Amino acid sequence: MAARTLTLRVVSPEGVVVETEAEAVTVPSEAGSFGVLPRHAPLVALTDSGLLKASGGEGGDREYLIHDGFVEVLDDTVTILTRAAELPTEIDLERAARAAERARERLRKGGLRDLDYARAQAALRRALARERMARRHA
Amino acid sequence: MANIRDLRQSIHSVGNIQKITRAMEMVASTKLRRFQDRALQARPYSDRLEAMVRSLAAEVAANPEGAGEAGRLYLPGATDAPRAVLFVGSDRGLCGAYNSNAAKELDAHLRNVGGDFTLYVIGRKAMAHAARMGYPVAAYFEELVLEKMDFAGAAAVTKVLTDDFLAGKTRSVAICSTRFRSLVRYEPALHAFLPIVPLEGGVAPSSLLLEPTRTAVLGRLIPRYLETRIFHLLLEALASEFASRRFAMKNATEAAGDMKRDLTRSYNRARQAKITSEITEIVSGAEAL
Repeated sequence: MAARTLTLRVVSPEGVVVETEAEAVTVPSEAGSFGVLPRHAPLVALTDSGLLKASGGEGGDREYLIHDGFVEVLDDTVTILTRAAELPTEIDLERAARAAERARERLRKGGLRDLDYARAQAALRRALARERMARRHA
Repeated sequence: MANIRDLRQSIHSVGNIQKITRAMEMVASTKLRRFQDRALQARPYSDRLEAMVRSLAAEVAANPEGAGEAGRLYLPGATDAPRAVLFVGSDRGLCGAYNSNAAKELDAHLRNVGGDFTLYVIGRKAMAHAARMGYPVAAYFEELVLEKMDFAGAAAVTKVLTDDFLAGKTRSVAICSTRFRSLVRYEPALHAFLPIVPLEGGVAPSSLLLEPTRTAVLGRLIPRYLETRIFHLLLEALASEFASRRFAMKNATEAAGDMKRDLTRSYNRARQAKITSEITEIVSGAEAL
């Protein structure tokens, strides 16, 4: 019996970043990473900055960096809508380090309102995830 | 002959106008490319997000209280409140029929729907139309400079629209803006915005998982969707505006070229006639001697 596969689609405001088949997908969500296999129950969840892994299928094991957004699992299709998605090789380590420093500075200075605070925190999380990712693939 | 001098001056000023319209055409082309790229790239994201939100309608309808404030955006607004339309036009003129087409669409819509209505306006030219027609305007987003519009600007507009809707000031919100189909096709259209229209055949509520919690997912997803929608429609409107302006300026440049050619022809004819008459005068003067 041919293995059922999942269709993984990552869409950001810059367009469709990834469209691929996979046997299993690991998604970084706000409540931690979770795996998706074919025949998964319908689900909508919030994603967080982290590694999106796809295994099996034609491309072998692949990794992408995604950020805050949404994931929908429906009829063996995993759709991820995120603010930004990157291939590990595209990440600029220096830029990520600078962004992390800027975000830390903003948080340290304090006096931020709720929304700005959340924004600075999200920026820091994004930058740290980028740094981690870039180091792994360096 | 004063006529010759007048003609020369006209040729000169038509030439100057042509230079200006050509420059405006080039500026519009560059800006068009910028907004067109952004608008087209953002389309899959906006469309997927819309499908996701609308397919959740059944889930929210099954338990509206548990959905928090965001859940109320799926429900019809106060029935005694006016219907609202967000009317999007341009800040600047000289863009062909862009604004008047959008205005026609708006007028037709208001006539068809009837009843109480109120407007939210973006763009100076759109505001001028609303004022001319004496339409009630709930808010005019004057500080939003369209050309420099970013996501935060779109989010600010969204906040006003949703806050007023939730406060019962409006019954529904539609958006009248121009959609960008291609470089030569851009059509004004009305889009339903609030309340959110359910998608046919959405997911059966009982089988859907929402993580970490229902309120958290809906609370983040729905505002994000509304902001993205407005942002995307504004990008398309901008792309249409520049496409329209480029086209108008291209026509103006060509018309100026034609006019210049005709004027030059008349000028040469007048000049020739003057020379001929001078020669005739000299010759007849010489003969008289």
